Amino acid sequence: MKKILVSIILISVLLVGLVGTAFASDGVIKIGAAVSLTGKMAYEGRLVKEGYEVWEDWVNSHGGINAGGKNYQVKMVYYDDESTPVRGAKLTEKLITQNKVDFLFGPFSSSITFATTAIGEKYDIITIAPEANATKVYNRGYKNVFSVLPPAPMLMVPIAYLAENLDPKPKTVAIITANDLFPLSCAEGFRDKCIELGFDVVLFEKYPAGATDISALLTKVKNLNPDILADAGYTADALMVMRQCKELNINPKMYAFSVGVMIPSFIEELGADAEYVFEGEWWLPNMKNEDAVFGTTADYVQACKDKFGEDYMPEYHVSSASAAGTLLQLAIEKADSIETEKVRDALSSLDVELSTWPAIAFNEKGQNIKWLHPVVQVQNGKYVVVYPESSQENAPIYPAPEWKKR
Amino acid sequence: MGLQMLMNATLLGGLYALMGIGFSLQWGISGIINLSYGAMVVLGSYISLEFFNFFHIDPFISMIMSGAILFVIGAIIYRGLLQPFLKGGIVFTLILTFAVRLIVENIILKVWSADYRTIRLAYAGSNFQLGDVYIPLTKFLTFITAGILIYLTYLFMMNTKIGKGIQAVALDKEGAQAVGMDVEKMYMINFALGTALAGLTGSLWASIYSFSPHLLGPLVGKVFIIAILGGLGNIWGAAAGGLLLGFAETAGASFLGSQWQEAIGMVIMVSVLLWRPYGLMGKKFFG
Repeated sequence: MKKILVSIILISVLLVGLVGTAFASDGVIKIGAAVSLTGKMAYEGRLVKEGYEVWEDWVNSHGGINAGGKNYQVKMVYYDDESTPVRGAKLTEKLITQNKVDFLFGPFSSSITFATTAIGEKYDIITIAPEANATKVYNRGYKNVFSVLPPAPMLMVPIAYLAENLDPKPKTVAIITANDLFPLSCAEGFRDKCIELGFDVVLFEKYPAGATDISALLTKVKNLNPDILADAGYTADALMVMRQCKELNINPKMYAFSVGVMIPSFIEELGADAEYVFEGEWWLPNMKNEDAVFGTTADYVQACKDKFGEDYMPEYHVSSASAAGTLLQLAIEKADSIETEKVRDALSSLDVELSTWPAIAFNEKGQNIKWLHPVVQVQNGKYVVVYPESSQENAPIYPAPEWKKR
Repeated sequence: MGLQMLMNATLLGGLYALMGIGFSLQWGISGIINLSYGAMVVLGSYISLEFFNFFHIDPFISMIMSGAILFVIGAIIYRGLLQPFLKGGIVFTLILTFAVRLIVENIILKVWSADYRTIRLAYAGSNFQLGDVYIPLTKFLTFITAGILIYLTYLFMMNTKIGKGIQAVALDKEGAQAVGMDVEKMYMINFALGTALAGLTGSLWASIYSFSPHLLGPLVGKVFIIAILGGLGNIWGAAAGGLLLGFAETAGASFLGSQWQEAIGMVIMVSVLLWRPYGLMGKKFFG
């Protein structure tokens, strides 16, 4: 008797649930994502998943997506790709053939996205890839891949734009870079933009990745006495460069980095010597952008906090994933349809600012080629957004004083 | 090379010299190619880091603790792990010391994570000037300290009973045994001394550079070059090898471009192996 009662209650609860969703919307848009929840990319993979979750919750609790006179709820389907491309590709096939997803969101890393997007292309399903910016992902003539992250050479480009408007305008640039794929493409992108903007690039030299002492190279820099010293390297390199510049009394007017500045240890370790240093970023939670989905960037950050707790602070892995969701939503609404072809055309023609990403517009390969991402400077022991002007917290401080006058 | 470059090279070479000696002694005298040497250096850095974080002890002082702790670790590794297998030949010691390296590396990863660490000394980054040449204070101090430590090691080898015993064992193992010396004990002390020198280097390293578990591998590469340049088991040879590597890296960076900075050491090592396989200072044994 008891069992029957329990069953009846359960079934009725289920039925009410089903009826409830049926009444709330006319349909469900299924989106699949195989992300790394275990393995070596588990940390970033989880951040990406959190970004998707924030968007999914937000959409479903804010009226869903309207297209073609219908209202849709969003249903995400996740799998764990175990940080391997092969698994990612298999799971993507499963998402398409068994789960019948309408769209795909990308995993973390270029290498896995490279594999999963091949499957998406085969079945003509769009992938919005938040975290893949290696050129090889976009050079295969695929029409179903769209990127949130701009290509790696763009990372330091905003620093060049910022430098162009400084007063007095810096003239000479010395660029040093770790001899490895990612740093090198950052450095080359920066060099090309500097030349285009009329700076005189007096030095472009590589040092071995993982080098601990580059005093020889820095002594060369000293003899050239450039206005800007730019370093594209790894996290430890920024610290090394600043310390050895001080030791050798090298005094460029501007220090610019690709990475290694916005990590807690940089200011902790260097103290006052960290002042005036610039770094290019992809996205920051204190930017001032907005869109029709989340509202302002502050609203987006609050949405993340509401979901994951007050201490939670989204960073670019999270926001790029949320941006993938936002992009899909905007494209579907613009296309007024959930058909792949129409959504794809709508995506291609988007040119938007998002609360979750400063600027997005795609080239014919699906790469995001807008460069409005931010630059921070260390001012009074804090990271301050100094570029772009729309998000500026403080004006950039230039030139940096000489070491002896600090 | 300008004067500043020469100064950079000398200061860099001083630390390399100290680092190379321990490895060279272990290889030349105890007959062990210690692939865990880099791990021991980095362990010394982390020991100094902990002393600095918890007790605010300067690495120039806590290096004594690093040296002592690493001496004990070296003795234990030799007695417990290496000595029983020495008869198996050089391959065994390679495998065993590589195992030690992996174990230590993973302990470091577990305890301190893969993040880069530095010891933030109040006087880090300060310098003084000699004409046009800038001399970084911490690097200067490590150079002087390394010089003193090298000289102390030399005095130990020349003037103490144990030091002379180690030399005797190195020159003629059977002869030393015949006159009643505890050969295994000499080998152990020599190996432990080498490990202690690694720890001391680690502490000095921590006062000027950042460190992380990634450093282990490249350091072993460097000590190999130094030992081969200077000849095995020879203190002054290894010291010269270290200085030479410092000069080679600096010259490589300034003439060929910085991306050759680390390759140049390898090129020199191969050249030495081809033309002077017994090392530039050329003596097979210490003594």
